[in-house]
Amino acid sequence: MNDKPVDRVHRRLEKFIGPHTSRLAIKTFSQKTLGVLPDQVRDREVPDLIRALRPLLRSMLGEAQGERIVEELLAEFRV
Amino acid sequence: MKFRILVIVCAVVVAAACVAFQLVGEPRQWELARVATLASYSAAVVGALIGAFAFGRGDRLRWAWLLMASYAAIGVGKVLLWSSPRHIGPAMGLLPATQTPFAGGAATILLNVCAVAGLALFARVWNGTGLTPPWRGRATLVAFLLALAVGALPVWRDIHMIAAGQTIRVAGLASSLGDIAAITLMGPVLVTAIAMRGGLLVWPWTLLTVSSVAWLLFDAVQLLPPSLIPVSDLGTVMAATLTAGAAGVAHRWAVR
Repeated sequence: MNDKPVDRVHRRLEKFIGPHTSRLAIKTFSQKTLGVLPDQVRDREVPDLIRALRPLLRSMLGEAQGERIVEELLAEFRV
Repeated sequence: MKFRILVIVCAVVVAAACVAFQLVGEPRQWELARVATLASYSAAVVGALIGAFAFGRGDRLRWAWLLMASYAAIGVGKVLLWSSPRHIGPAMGLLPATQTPFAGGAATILLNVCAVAGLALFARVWNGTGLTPPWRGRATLVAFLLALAVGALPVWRDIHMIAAGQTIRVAGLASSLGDIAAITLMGPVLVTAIAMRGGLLVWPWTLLTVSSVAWLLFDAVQLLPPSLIPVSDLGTVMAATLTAGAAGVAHRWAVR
């Protein structure tokens, strides 16, 4: 079964910040950064979305752990 | 599972101390209260330091936890030097209370400054992230109104006493103003706990909220019948400090 790209990001984030904030963050930054709804985010746009999530993750989890998750996600979506 | 065990341990320790306090009777109950309060403040220092070192030097939350550790460390010093907080028994500290009102007042002011500054940093966790929970502003406003309801009268009373020449009440005024600030900051902390529901970070934020609520109840204890005040003081101080320490440990577990 093929997941939408944002679903994979959501699953990674919800473990830490919970499903509600994960969805809110993805929705907010999809619109702010990419100007689209989460469902419309394409694979090649996901790295920009992940980078937009960086300040939130660094604030909530600390710089080291937040950065680690961002890098792992970026690696996952690297073409 | 380990988060739940942490919560259960806090609850059992507080309940056991309160039951033992009621059972042993005077004068041993005062020594028990002193030891229990000292142990719970010490646990808060250790837990907050564990939380602090889960974060890097540049992280806001490291400084928040270091400030929480500082307030708990000052609490340890207060109990050692001047005995347990407020109503829990006679002065049993290393320094005679009558000789040290200024030092005691200064320690109270410093403790409140550290606690409020720490909570302020926790409350600012969303700043600069580009995201804000939708009801954060409203929750802060409600918390501020609650803080005024609880703290305005003591502040007014302290100001009158200071104006009448009782300068030692400056510490009481600082404590009351600290309560207003701390209760106000409870709003954004609670909002963060709610926002994190379903994730690992819900545990430290919820425990931090419980700690703030326990300090609020510590203030409300004065409304109880006199016979219930000592045990309620002990229970609320222990709950506030132990859950603060547990929140630090939970924060480390959640982010590592």
